Formats: sequence, structure tokens, C-alpha cells
Amino acid sequence: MAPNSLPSNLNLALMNLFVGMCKGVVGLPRNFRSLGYGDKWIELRFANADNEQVVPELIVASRQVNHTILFEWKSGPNTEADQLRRYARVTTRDLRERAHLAPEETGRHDVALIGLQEYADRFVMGITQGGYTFPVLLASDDGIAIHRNRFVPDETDAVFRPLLEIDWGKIPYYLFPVDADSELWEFAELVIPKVLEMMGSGETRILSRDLEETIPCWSIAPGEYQRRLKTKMYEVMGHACGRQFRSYLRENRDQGARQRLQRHWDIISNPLAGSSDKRHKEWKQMTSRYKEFLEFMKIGPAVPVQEVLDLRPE
Amino acid sequence: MALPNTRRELAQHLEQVMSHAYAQLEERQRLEADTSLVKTYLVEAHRLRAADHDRTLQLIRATFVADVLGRRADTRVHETEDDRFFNVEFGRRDEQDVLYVDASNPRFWLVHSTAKSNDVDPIIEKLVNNTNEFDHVWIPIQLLMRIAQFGSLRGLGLDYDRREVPDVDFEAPNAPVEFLKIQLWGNRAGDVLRILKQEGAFPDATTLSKVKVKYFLDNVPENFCIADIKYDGKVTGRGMSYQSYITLVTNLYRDYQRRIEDYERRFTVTFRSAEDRLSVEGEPLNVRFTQPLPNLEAFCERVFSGSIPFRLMGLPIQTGRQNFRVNAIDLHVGRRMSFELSPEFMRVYLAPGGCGNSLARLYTNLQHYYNSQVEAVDGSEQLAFQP
Repeated sequence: MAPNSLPSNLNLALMNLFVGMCKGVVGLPRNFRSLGYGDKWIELRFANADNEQVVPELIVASRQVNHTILFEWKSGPNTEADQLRRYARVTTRDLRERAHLAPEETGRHDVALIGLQEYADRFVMGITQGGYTFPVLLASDDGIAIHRNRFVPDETDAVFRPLLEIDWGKIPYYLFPVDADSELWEFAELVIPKVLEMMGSGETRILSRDLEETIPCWSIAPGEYQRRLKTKMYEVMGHACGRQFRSYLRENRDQGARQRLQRHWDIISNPLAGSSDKRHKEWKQMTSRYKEFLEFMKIGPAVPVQEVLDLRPE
Repeated sequence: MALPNTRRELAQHLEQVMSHAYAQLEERQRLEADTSLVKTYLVEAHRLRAADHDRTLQLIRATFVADVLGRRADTRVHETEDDRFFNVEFGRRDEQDVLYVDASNPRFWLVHSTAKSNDVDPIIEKLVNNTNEFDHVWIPIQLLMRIAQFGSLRGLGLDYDRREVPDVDFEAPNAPVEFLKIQLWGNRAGDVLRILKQEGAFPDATTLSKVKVKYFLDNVPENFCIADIKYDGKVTGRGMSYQSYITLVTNLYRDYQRRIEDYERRFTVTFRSAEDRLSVEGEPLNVRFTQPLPNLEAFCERVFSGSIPFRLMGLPIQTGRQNFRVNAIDLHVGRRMSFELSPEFMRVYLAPGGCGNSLARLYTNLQHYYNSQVEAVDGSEQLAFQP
């Protein structure tokens, strides 16, 4: 991947980008925030005028321009005809009564579709064939631009013309750090700091729900999706127990304990317990292990396991 | 003197110490010995936000010990008649000094003493640095300026040390100022500050570290105090009125507490869910560097090394040509704190339960050790640490 090109995970990138822009996060274009857009709902499921459900990825709205945008993004080349038809049947009244938005921000609305520049021709086909007026935006390494149709408010439309320049290296990460398609090392980047935090607090075990805490939007994820995320987090913990953290962590396989606490890991040796400032050397060493572990997760078993030093206080 | 058994007795004792010292000063026309000055250390005990007397006592007994404060600190903790008010004797048997710990606000403590700074400062320093329980109060330049307006400015101190974050070559022709430390006493101190901050002078290195303020209670001439307020929350008082001193100190402390609680509310990102709905509340604190960081990697290495004053331990992960992110541990509270950095800015995210005081610590120390003009703003571009 060229530095700062469009990230491979379009869903995460766009969610982080648009929520970040609404929040006025430094390093991102301020146009959206300046027009008063705020992030309202993520993946809100509500019914249109025909009582058919729609689930836009993100809803943003602005009282300043009295406008709501329902965002739908696709990393693939195709749009779904049924989905487009349902979006076309969303009315102002639906937005107010079913999507819980204020009258002052729903005077006008658009359904905006975002796809990848490389699929431009196929992506726009469904829109053209259906005769929809939804603005179609395309993401590329340089940013996001309108490809077909327009936003109702001129000032919103102008944000994406000729191009909303984005340095993809600067988009936030914290808001939505991973999804089920993220790489294992990306999960490791969340899970291991949590493990260290718990070791620093003197905890004796790490529960599945402690790992869930590292994914801020966990509570809203559907069960099946949560299972996919869990599988990746467990896999990271498995590698950690077998590699760089094997002296400190061990999965508790006792059936009784697992029945009570679900899957969990015991902290079998803890050099970080106690005052964190006094244990500076130990923190440094654990951070080095974490670095090695991330390398291992990124490039595989070529990374040698460093000999384990016993850091337990005498 | 017998140890004060109530806050009222403490106030009487400190009033006496202050007025006696000031009378001596007027009579002899020389500075009083450091021992006769009242010192107040503003200390934040994050985890005790809702603690009762017993929990507070338990923490004091666990932390005011030789293991934390050093072998020579032989301490004895005494309860008093008042809830959450303790006397802590420390020092050698033949030379005991006292810390008067007022934890009426369970999170934001006032620790008074009349002992020498040379004896008390290291105790407070160790208490903060050797435990996960406490932190100094960190007062950025903007808030020190505001405090100066509570009374009349009688002096100030500047303290800047760029060597702490060594990401530049100090031998280069256009290298920044390495170190700037100045003490200015007198009514014209403010004028000198304005000159130093001008473009062409040393705006990047003029970091206010202390203000000396004369404060009158109710504008009554004899009800005054002169307080030196330092950026790390140490206040030293003299004058004729302890009442005026404690009013000034608690005014600034209340203002600080309100801000810290407000930062925790605004700069903690939380996801709220109900039924099938999810919304994101809060935003990061946006820190903007007035000049791009010349060596982001070196900067990250120092700031996230786990050392004082930043007390942040983390592994910087490169995410772009000149971009890093860090899921760090805030060693003050042992909680995660996340950062996204580029040469022009740093985004700071508090995790739920994180400490707003840590935002003040980061920002204040960037002013002292990096650039005094570094800005911290919210999503609306409003200064987070407004005067």
C-alpha cells in the first residue's frame, strides 16, 4: 500500500472519517462541521413509508442547513436494487417519527452512496437504471468527489466539488478501530494494551468481557458479528499466551471455571503490579514484548521469541 | 504546638503563622525564613472521587509510608475530630514536621504545611510519582493568567526547558531556545511578560510557571495575602489574613475542578446504545503545534516513555508517512489513553473512567517542555483551557 492511500477497509475508514469530520477532529477538513453537521445515528434500523426497513451506515444532520444525509457505502462494485428502492421511499416524516430527528434538521434530506473510484461505472449503473437522484460519491487516494447527481443544499454539494481532499493517513482510528474484517495484528493493538492495563491494576485474570471493552461499539454489534470479533480476539490471546507473553498469561481450561466465567485467561506472573511509576523498568520491558508481539502478528513466525526474563520482584 | 484537632484549629494556627511571619518581615525589612510560610499543595486523588472518611484514611495509611516516601520519612497518621481531615507527622523523631491533609473534597485535596519546602516538596513529589493514586494539579499558562486577575499581579516566574523532548539539533543555526528561566518581582512583571511574548522575542519559550498575586478579601486593606501560585499546584502564602489566602486558594481550586470535570465530560468518547440505536458522544481534545514537529518519532519516544512529567507509557504505531497512533497507559490512574499524532497535531482520547487531570498534565508539560504556544482546542475550535 502506498503511504496514505485509501485504506483497504473502506467501511471503517469512511465511518471514522465522517464521524470525525462531524466532531471537528483536528487534521480533517472542517467543511462538514462548519455547516453544522453532527453525527446522529450509526446503523439505525428504521422503517420507510412502506414499512420496509432501511439501515444506513450513518445518519448526519444539520440544523444550520436544515438537512439530513443518510450515508450508505459499499466496498464492492454493485448496488442492491431492493435497497435503493427502499431508500427512495424514506420520507421526511419517517426521519422525524422513526429516525428520531428534529424537524429543524429534516427540512430536506439526501441518501448519499459512496463507492470506490475503481468501480465507478458499475457502481452508478443501478442508480441510473432506477432513475434515482441520490448523490453518488467516489472515494480515491486523493479524497472523495461527487460522480453523479447532487446534494439538495448547494453548500453541502460544494463540499465535494471538485474534490474533498483527504489525507487518509490522518483519519481517526480510535472511534472505530476494527471490524470483523480487520487483521489480527489490529486486534492485538487493542487487546494487549488492555492486558497491560489490567496487569498494572493488579488483576489476576482477564475475562472475555474485558476484551470486549476494547471495542467501543461492542454493545450494538449483532450476536453473530460479536462472535466473529471474539474469535479474532481469542486468537490474539492464544498467540500471546504461546509467544511473547507465555510467562505471564495462561488460558484457564478448567471446565468449572469456564462455566462460571466463560473463556478467560489467568495472569500467572505479574511484574507490573504495584506502583506503575516505580515499575518503570518492568513497563519498558513489557512494552518491548508488546512490540515484538505486534511484529510477530504482522509478519508471522519469522520473529524469534526473545528469551524470557524473570521480572518478578525478589 | 499541639496538632490541630479540627479544621477550625488548623485555620487559627495557619492564621497565626502567616500574620506573625508578615509582622516580622515588616519589622525587620527582610524576607522571612521559609519555615514560617504557609504552603498548600493541591493534590488530585482520582480514584477517591466518592470516598468516605475510612476509605480516605485507608489510602493515606497505605501511601504515606517509607516504601513510597523514602526510608527517612518516618510517618505517623492521626485522625482528627473532623471527617476527612488528617495530620501526618513526618521526619526524624527529633525533628517532626506535619502535613495537614484536608480531603473535604474526596478527589481534590488541600495539603497544608508550614515546614521547609526542602523537606515537604520531596515528600509530595514522591507521593505523586511513586503511587498510582495521586497527581499534581497542573495549571497551564492560560489558567495562571486568569488566577493573576483574581488579585493584583506582583511578580511571575518563567520556566521552559526544551531539552526534555530532544527532537532537534540544538547546534543548528535556527535551533529553538533550549532553556529559559526567569523570575520577575514587582508591579512591572506583566510588562516584561508581554515584551517576551512578542513576535521576534521568545514567544515559543516564554512559559509562565508561577504568579505572585496580592489578594484583598472584601477590599479591606488589612485583609490581604500574597500568594505564589506555581504551575504544579504548589501555593505559598504570606500576608495578614489567612482567610484571604484560603479564599484565593479555594477560588482557584474550584475553578480548576470545574474545568477538569468538564474535560472528562467533553473529551471522553462514549458509545451510547438503546435498542438498535447507536450514537457517539464526546470528542477528542485537539492539540495543535504552532510549528510542525521536526521529528515525530523522537517526540513520541520521549512523551510515551512512561517517565515524568508525562507519565504515559505506550508503543507508537506508524500509520502513515508521518502519522502515529498510540494506545498508551496513563500511569497516574493506570487507564488507557489513546493518541493520534501527525507533525501538526495530536488528538487525545480519554477512555471512560479516564482522568481529566491527565489532559491538563499533558498540555501543561507540553507548554513547559515543548512550546509555550501549543494550542488545545475542542471540535468547535474553542480553546479548551480558556482564561
